[in-house]
Amino acid sequence: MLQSPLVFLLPAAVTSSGKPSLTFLWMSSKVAIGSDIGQARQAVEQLRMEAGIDRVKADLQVSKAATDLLQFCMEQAKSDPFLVGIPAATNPFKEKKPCAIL
Amino acid sequence: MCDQTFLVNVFGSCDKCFKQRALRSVFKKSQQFSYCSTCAEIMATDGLHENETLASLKSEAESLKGKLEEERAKLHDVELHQVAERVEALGQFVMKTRRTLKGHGNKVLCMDWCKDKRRIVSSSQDGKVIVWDSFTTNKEHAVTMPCTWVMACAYAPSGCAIACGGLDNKCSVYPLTFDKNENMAAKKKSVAMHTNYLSACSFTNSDMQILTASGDGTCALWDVESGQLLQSFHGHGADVLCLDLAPSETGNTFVSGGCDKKAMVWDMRSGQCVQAFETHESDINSVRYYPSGDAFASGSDDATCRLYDLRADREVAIYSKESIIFGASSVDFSLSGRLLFAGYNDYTINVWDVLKGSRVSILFGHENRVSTLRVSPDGTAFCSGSWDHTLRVWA
Repeated sequence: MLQSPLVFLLPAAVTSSGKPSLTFLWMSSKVAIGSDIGQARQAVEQLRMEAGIDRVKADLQVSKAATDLLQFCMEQAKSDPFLVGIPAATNPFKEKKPCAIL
Repeated sequence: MCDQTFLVNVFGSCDKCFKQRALRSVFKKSQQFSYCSTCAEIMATDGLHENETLASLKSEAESLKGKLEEERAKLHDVELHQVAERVEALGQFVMKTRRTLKGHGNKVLCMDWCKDKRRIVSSSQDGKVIVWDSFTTNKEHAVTMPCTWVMACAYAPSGCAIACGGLDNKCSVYPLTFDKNENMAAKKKSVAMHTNYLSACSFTNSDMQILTASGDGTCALWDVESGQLLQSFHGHGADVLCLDLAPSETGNTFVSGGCDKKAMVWDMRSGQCVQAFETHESDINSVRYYPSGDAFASGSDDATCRLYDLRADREVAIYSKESIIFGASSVDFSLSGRLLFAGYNDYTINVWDVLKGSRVSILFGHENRVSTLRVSPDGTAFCSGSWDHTLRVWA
């Protein structure tokens, strides 16, 4: 969770006149925002809160969640154009069959 | 894709001690202050108990994480694909490129559908943002942004405006007008200001608010009319690359994914992170909510897509194959949520059966990385944008 920034001072810190400018460019691939202790405290408080939730009581089993996902999917499947398939005539993207004039 | 972030360090007088030092921006209750590093440390250690040190906090965090894993494991009684065993397998899919949208001069980075299920806005590395009619492949509007790498674009729900941004660190809103005499760029409104590149943006349920994600590690909610910051979201430890709003009408949560391998779910009103998931092994490039709003999928540079359930509070499925070694850049669900379309950096699009966890189809056609992919609002087609300068509509 805590990452120390990789920090390099680029040569671009020196202006064309050869004097160092007031702003430096720091190149880092992972930047830790805020101070380390502040971040650590926030992380611990967030984790304390999450650990305090009574999961069994809150009915958070995977089996129930998975069954709900399944149910939603099955209900919506009838109206999903990719699963059901719309006739080429109504699908604006598919080519229409040529119509013969009798 | 640029994966290095550049920070400009500013010297000035600290807000607390007023000495001339190198300043760091610190956020207290969404207000930004500039403190020197000494004052920032003092602020953070305020209210620390006597024996709380960095080391003790770290070890407590580790033990809490371990405890959480145990608790989650107890409830992991079955896998999603086991529950889905009795579901009928899907038949063969025939999906072909029905339209190819050509006109961008460089890599296409982002696209979005209009609610009228017909128009598409796309942005590219050359700074151009184009609005297309996908039925006829005509270009309806084109704007040249003052910056290159326009990484984010979005269509307003009304269809009357578009938002875009990128290396300019801003999100700008352009009202769309059919008046030939009006210059679109003249009506541009700068809404969001970040301290690093804009990676994603999205209108909320109305034209009045925009949610943005940035390389500076934060997400933010803005009022379009006044340009005011309504709420900011801090918690990611690195660049935020993507975000998606919960689908419900009354929904006020969104999910974001970043370079810190975490996907975080936020409450838009309080600015708090309500859930965080850290199972990916690399940057998360794309997140998308499941149509019911109870789960979301993520695509990552570790070549896998994963499904996370919000109520079970854990990852419930992984979509991966040994033969797929390139990262997934973009994911989206079909209307029912049965299919997951994912665009990869190996130029292909894989279609996954969400419930069974198996791959249904693989689509070839692009000649370079697929960078963006969205299913149309009525689910009849999906559009993919690629580094080969084109967009393809598949049905």
